[in-house]
Amino acid sequence: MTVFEPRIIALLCNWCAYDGADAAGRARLDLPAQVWEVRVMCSGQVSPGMVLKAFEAGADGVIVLGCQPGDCHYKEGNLHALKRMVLLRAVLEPTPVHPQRLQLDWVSAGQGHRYAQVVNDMVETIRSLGPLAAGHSREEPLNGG
Amino acid sequence: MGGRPKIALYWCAGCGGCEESVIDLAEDLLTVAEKAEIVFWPVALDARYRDVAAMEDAEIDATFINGAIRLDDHIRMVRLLRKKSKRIIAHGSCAHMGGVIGLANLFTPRQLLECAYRQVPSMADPPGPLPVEGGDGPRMPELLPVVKALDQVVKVDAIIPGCPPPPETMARVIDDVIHGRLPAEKTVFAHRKALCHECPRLDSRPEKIEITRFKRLHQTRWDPDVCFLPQGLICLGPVTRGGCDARCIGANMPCRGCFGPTERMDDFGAGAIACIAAMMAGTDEPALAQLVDSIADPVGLFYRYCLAASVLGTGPTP
Amino acid sequence: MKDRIGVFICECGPNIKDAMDIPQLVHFAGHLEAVVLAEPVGLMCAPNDRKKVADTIRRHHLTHVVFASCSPREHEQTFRGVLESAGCNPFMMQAVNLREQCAWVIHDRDQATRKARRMIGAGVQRVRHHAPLTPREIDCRPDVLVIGAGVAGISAARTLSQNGRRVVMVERSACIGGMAALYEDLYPDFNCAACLIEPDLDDVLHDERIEILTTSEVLSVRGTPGNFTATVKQAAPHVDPLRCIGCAACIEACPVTVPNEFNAGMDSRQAIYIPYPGSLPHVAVIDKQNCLQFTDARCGACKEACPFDAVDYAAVPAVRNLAVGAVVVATGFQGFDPGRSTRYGYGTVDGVISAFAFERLVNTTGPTGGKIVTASGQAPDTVAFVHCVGSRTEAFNRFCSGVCCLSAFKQARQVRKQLPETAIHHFFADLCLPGKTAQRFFDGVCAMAGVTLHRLVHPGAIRISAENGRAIVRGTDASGAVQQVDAQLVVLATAMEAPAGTPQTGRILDLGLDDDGFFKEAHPVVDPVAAVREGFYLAGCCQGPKDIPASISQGQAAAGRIMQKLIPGGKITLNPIVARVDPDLCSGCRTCEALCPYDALARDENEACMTIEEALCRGCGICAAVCPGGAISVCHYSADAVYAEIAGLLKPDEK
Repeated sequence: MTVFEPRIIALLCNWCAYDGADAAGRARLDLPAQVWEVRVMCSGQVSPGMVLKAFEAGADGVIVLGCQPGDCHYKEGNLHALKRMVLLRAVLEPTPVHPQRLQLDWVSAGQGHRYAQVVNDMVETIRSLGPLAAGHSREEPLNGG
Repeated sequence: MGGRPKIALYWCAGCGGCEESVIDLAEDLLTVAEKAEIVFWPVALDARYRDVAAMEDAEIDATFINGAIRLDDHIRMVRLLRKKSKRIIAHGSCAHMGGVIGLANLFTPRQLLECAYRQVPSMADPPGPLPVEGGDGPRMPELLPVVKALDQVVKVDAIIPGCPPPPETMARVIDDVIHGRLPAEKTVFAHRKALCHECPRLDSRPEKIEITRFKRLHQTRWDPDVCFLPQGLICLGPVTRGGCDARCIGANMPCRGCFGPTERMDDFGAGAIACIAAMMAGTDEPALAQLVDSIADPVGLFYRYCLAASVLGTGPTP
Repeated sequence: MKDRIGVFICECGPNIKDAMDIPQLVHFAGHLEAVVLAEPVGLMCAPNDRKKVADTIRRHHLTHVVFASCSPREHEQTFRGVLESAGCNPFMMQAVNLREQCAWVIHDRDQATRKARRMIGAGVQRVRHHAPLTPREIDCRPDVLVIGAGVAGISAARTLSQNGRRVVMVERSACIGGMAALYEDLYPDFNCAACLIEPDLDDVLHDERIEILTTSEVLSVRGTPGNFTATVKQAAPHVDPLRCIGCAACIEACPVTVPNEFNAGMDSRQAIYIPYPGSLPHVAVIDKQNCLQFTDARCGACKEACPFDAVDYAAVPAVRNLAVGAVVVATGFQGFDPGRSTRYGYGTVDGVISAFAFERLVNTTGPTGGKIVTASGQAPDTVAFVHCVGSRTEAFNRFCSGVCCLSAFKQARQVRKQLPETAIHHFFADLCLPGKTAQRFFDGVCAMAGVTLHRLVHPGAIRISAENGRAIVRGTDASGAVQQVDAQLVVLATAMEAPAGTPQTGRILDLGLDDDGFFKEAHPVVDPVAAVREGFYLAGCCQGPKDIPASISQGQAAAGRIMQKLIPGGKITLNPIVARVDPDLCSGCRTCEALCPYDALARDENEACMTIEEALCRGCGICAAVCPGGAISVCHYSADAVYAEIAGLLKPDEK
C-alpha cells in the first residue's frame, strides 16, 4: 500500500502571503513538500475557476492566502476573495469535492510561522480526506457523519 | 456519392425538447426531407444501429446529437456516429454540457436507481429487484458512473446551445447543412458576448449592486422593467452566452444559463459564483454564510445545465 | 518564431546547491518542451554571472527565460535587468523561487529535488504565456489641488504659487478664509485677525496661478501620485460672481429671514445674502433651502432688484475634471455642539453661548458691532467661562484640543477691556498652557482684578441651570465643595472636532481616519504632514486640533513636501501589468465596475462595453477574476498563464 501524499496548490498574494512563505524560508522552517506555491497579485485575483482548474488538474486541496482583513494592498481584494470562497464552498457541499478541500486564510508579510502552521494544518486536513478521486466518489463527512 | 446531403439525428439522455426543436420546423421539415437524405432518426424513422454500422466512414454529412451521455449504449452509438459523420453537432444543452441530466452526478447510479425504483412516493409495489440486478431477460443498458457531455466522449465539431435551442437557430443550421455548408470546427451557433449585451434591461442595471438577501421568484413582486440582480433575484445573464434573444427575460423570467459560458470561460458555474459573489453585501464570514444560505440549492442553480462539464460533476481529469 | 526557452538554475552558493540535486534538475529542465538550454549558475545576482547569463541569452537567441533562484521579491527586478541587457523584453521571464520556498524549507534532499522539478516545469509552462510589455511614461502633473480654503489651505496655496505652481482651491462654502476670518483679536498679541488674514485672502483671490472654486466639492480623486484626476462639482452660480459687486440691493429686496449661521444664530440674514461683512469673494449667494424661488417658484424679488442682472435662477451646477499631481487636504474642524450634553444648558438657559458665538459677539462686524451684551442688550455684570466642553471625556472626545484654554483667557481679557467692572469666572479641571507665550499670557489674566478661577474635580463636574433669568453655574471643586456663580453670560470653550462630513470625505478621497475621527498621518511622528494615501498631504485642523500659526505652518510644510516630490517636467512610469478588456467579449454587464479599487473601469455607453484607464489600473486582477464573460485579463497574470503554472505543478512526475 502506498502512502497518500496530498497534492496541494497554495495561491499566495504577492504582498502578504507570498512574503509570509518567504519568511518561513528565511527562518528555515520545516514545510511539507506537498504544498506548491503559485504567486498571484492579490487573493482577489483568484477566481473560482482557478480553484476548480487546480482540482481538475489533480490537486487534492487548494489553499488561498491573502493579506489580513483590512490590510489588502488593493483595499478589499481579500474581501472579494472571501465572498467568492464562501459561495464556492456552499456550492461544493453536495459535490464530490469536499468543501474542506478549499481553504482561505490570511498570512501577513513576515509571518513565516503562521504560514507554516496554516499549510501544515492544510496537509493534515487533506490527508484525512484522502485523494480526490477521478470519476464519481462521494465522500463521507470528515467526522464520521 | 454525390446527390443530397445526408443527415442523422440521435437522442441520448434528454427530455425530448430538442427533438421538438426539430419538429418546430413544421412545414419546412418537408423541404429538409426533400433537399437532404435523413439517414438515421430513431424518433421518426425505422433505422437501426446495424444500418448505421453498414455505412461508409464519413458518409453522413452532419449528425445532430441531443441529450447527455448517460448509458453505455449512448457511448456505443455516438462513437459509431462519430466514425460515420463528417460533422458531429452537439444539439442542445444536454449534449453541450450534460444539461439538467448532469445534476444526477451529485448521486451515485445506485442512489439514483434506489430513488427511482424504490423510494419515489408513487412506487406502491413491494421492493422488487433493481434493473441492474440481472435476471435472465434482455439486458438493460447500464447507467454510466457519471453523466457526461458529448465532447467528453467524442470530438464535437459544432454546438447548438439552448434548452431547447431556439427554432430559428435550428432552422438556420439545418438550412446550412442541406445546402452543403457544413459548420466550421468549433462553431457555436450563438453570440460571443454574454446575454446582458442583448438584454432589454441592461440599462436599468446600476453600477453597484449589493444584495442583502437572495430571493426566489415566488417570494417577491419584481419590477418587469428592471434588471433582476438589484432586485435580489439571481439572473445568470452576465455569465451566459447570448444568442437566445433573451427569451426568458422577455417572459419576465431570469436567465438560468442554458446557453452555457462564453468562449474564455471553462467552467460556467465558477463564473456564475464569481459574478454573484461580487454582489453579496457583508464583510465577515458568518454574515456572508448566512446570506449564502438564502440561496436555495446553490449547486443546482449555478450548475443547472453544466455540472457534467465541470470537475464538480466528473472529478479530476485522470 | 518558435519559443526558445532558457532555464538558469542558480546554486546560490551552497544555499540551493546543497539542498537539492542540481545536475538532475538541469537534466530535467533541458528535456522539457521548447527548452533549448538549461544551465547551472553559481550566483545569478553577482555581476559576473549576470553578464555571463546575458551573453548566453543573446548567443542562443532565447525568447523566454526561467530563472530558478531566490524569491522574485528579492531579485525579479535584477533579472529583468539581465534580460534587458541581453536585448530582450524584460518581462519575458519567470522567476522560480527555489531558495525560500524549496531549498530552505524542505530539508530532505530527495523531496526538495522533486518539488524543484515541479516548480521548474511549472515555470517553463508559465513563461510561454508571457508577452513583451513596454512600460509607458507620462508627464507628471505639477499642479496641486487644495481642498478647503481656510488659513491652512491658503498658506499651502500661496507657498505653492510663490514657487510658480498652479493651484486649484476647492471650498465648500461661499467664501474663503475659514473660521479664522470670523475672529476679532488673535492670541497672544491681540492682533486684529482681519488685518492679518485679509491681505492674504486678497492675494489669493487675485493670484493668477490660483483658481478658487467656492460652493464646490470634490466628488472623487482617481489616479496615482503625479497623475491624479479630481472631479469637482461646483454648485449652480445663481449669482454670477463676475457681475455681482456685492451692493446688497438684492438683500434688501429679499422677503425671507432666517437665523444667520455666520453669527452663531444671534441675528438673522436673508435667503440671498453676503456671508459676513468683508467676506471674500464679496458677492451674494442664494440659500436655496430657504429661497422662495426654489421652494415654490413664486418670488423673483432679488432678480428684479439686482441692478447688474447677476441673478440667474436657471444656472446649473458644473462638474469639472482637474489634472493635478498632488492634493492638500485642509478641511478644517467644527466646534463641539454643547447641546449634545444637557449639563451646559446650551439652548435652554439664556446667556449660555459657545466660544465661537463670543468671537462673533466681540467682533466689530458681528451682530452687536462688537459690544459684549446679553440677548436683552445689557452689558453682563458677571461672565463665566467653562473649559473642556466636549473634550477630555469618554462621552464625546477623549482628546484635549489644546487651544481652548488660551482662547478662553483671551476672551476674558476682551471682556475686561470692554467691561472693567464685570466679574469673570473660569471653571476648569486642568489648564493646558503649552508653548513659549502661554504661561505669561495666563499670568497676565490672573493679575487682572475681578477674575476668579474655580478648579473642578473633573471636567464634567459642572451644571448650568436657569434661575430668575440668570444662568447659575454650579461646579464641584477638587475639595468636594460646590462653587456657585450667578452669571449673565456663560461662554463654553468647546472642543475642536473633525467636521461631521469627515468620514464621507475620507471615503471619497480614500484617506484613513484616526481614533478621534481626524485624518490619519502617514506616520504620526516622522511623517505628520503626509496622509496615508500617497500624493495626499494634510494641513490644519483636519489632522488634529491646532491653532492658527500651527495650521499655517502645516500648510507651508505640505507645500514644501509637494515641491520636493513633484518636479515639473518629471516623468511617471506607468505599471505595465494592467488589466485589459476584450471588447469583442465584454457584454457591458458592469459586474466589474464597482469592484475596482481605483475607479479605473468605466462603461462606454455607446458600445455597452467596459473600458480601463490604464494610468489608473494597478493590475490587482479583481476585475478579471469576477468578469463573468471572461472578457478581462491581466497582462502577465492571465487566467491561462496561472492555469499553466498550476497544471505544471500538478503534472504527474515521470521519474
